[in-house]
Amino acid sequence: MSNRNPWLVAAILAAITAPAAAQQTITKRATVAPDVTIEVSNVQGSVEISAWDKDEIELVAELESAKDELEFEATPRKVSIEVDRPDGRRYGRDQEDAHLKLHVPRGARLDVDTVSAEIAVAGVRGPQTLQSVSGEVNTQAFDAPVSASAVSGEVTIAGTGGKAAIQTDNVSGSSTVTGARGDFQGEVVSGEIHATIAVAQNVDVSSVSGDIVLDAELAAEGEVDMETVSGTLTLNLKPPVNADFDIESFSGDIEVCFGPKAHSTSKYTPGSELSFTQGQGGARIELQSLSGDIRICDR
Amino acid sequence: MNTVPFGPRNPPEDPLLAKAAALPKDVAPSRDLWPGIAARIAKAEVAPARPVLRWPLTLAAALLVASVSALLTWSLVRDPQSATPAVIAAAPVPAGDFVPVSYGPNSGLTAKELAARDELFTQFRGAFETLRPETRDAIVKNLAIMQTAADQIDAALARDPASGMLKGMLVGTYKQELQLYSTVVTSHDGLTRRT
Repeated sequence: MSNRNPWLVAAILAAITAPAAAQQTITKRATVAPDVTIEVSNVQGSVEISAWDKDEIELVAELESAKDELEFEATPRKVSIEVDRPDGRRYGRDQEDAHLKLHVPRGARLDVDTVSAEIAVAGVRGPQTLQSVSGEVNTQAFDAPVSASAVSGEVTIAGTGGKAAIQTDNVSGSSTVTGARGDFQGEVVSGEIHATIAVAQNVDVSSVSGDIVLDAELAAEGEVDMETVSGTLTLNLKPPVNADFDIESFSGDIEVCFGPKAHSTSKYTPGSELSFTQGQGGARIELQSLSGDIRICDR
Repeated sequence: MNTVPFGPRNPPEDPLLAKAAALPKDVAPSRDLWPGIAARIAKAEVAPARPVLRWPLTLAAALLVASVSALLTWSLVRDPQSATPAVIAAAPVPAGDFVPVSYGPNSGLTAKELAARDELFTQFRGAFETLRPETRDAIVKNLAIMQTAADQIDAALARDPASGMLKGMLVGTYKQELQLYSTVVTSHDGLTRRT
C-alpha cells in the first residue's frame, strides 16, 4: 500500500504542470496608419512594444495557458488587443502569463492597461497612456504627452530632450523621470518621485507621505509647485536661479541654501514661511508642506 | 433685551464694528500653548484614527488556513488508508474582506461621487476575485495606504478646513482609488464581457 504515495504525488504534479505544455504562440499582422491608435489589455505577464519604420503592426503573443484567448481587431486607424480569460477562471501563480510583443509605427498612439503585467515601450513617438496596478512601467518620452501610472509598481520614463508633457501617478510605487523638458505632473501617496526636468515650464508634484526630489533648470517664466503632507520635498535648481519663491510649512523645517532664512508665522505655533526673489525673478516657485521638511538648493 | 444694531453703514457709524474695532488686535495667551497642542497632534498621529482594513488579520487567518491545509494534505498523502487526496489551498484575500476607502467628514466628497465610486468598486470586486494572490495582496496593501492617507488628510483638514492643498490631495487620493478600480476592471474587460 505504501507504494501508492509516490504515484499519488506524481499524479498531482502532472496535473499541475500539464498546462505548461499547452502554451500558445500566436502571430498577427496588419497594415495601419502611421498614427494608429493601439489599445492593449493584458492582466498578467508582460506587454513589450517597440517602434519600427513600417506602417504595420506585428504582434507575437505567447499565452502560457491553453484556455486563454487572444482578441485582435485591426482597422487602419485602430487596433485592439486583449487577452481574455473565459469563464471567470482565476489567475494562478505560474504558467498562466500572457506575453505580448508588438512592433508598431513610430507615431502610434498607445493605450495600455494591465494589472500585474509589466509594460515596456521603446521608440514610440505618439501619445502614450500606460496603466498598471502592480507591474512596472518603462517608457521613453519624445514630444507627445506621456501618462504613466502604477499603483504599486515602479514607473520609469526616460526623456529624450523632447517637450513631452509627462504625467505620473503612484500609490506605494515610485516614479523616476529623467531627461524630460517642459511640463511634468506627478502624484504619489507613499511612494517617491525623482524627476530631472530641463527648462521646467509647468511642474506640479505632490505626495501625501512620500518624498519628492526634483532637479530642475527653470524656464524664464516657469512655474514649479511642490506639495506634501508629511513627505520631504527637495528641490535642486540649476544656477543661475531667477525666481520668486513662496515657501510654507506648518511644522516642517525649511532649508534654503541661498537667499534669506525662513521665519516663524506665529510666536505660538511651529509654522514657518519664506517669500523672496532670487536673482531677477520671473519664474514662480511654490512649495508647501504640513509636517514634511522642505529643502531647496542651487547645485 | 439690548441688541446692537448692525447694517450697511460706514464703519465709524456702526456700533458693532466700532466695538469690534476697539477689541485688541492680538491676544497673547497667558502661557505657551504649543507644547500641549504638539503633544496632542503627535498622539493623534501615532494612534490610528480608525481601524484600517482588516488585511493583517485576514493574512494571519489565511496563513492559518494554508498551514492547516498543508498539514492535512501531508497527513493524507502520508497515510496509506486515505483514499481522497487533498489539494493545497491557496491563501487569497477574499473580496468580502476589504472595503473601499472611507473618507472622513472633512473630505467634501459628495454622495454622488461616493456612489459612483461604490458602483465601480462593485465591478472591481468581481475582477479582483480572479487575480493571483500576490496581486490581490498588493491591491489590499495599497488600499490600506490610501485609507491611511485619507485619514491623515482628513485629520489635517479638521485643523485647516480651508486648505486648498489638502483638498486637492484628498481629491487626488479619491482619483487614485478610482483609477485602481478602473485599471483592474478595464484589464478584465474581455473577461467580464464573457461571464
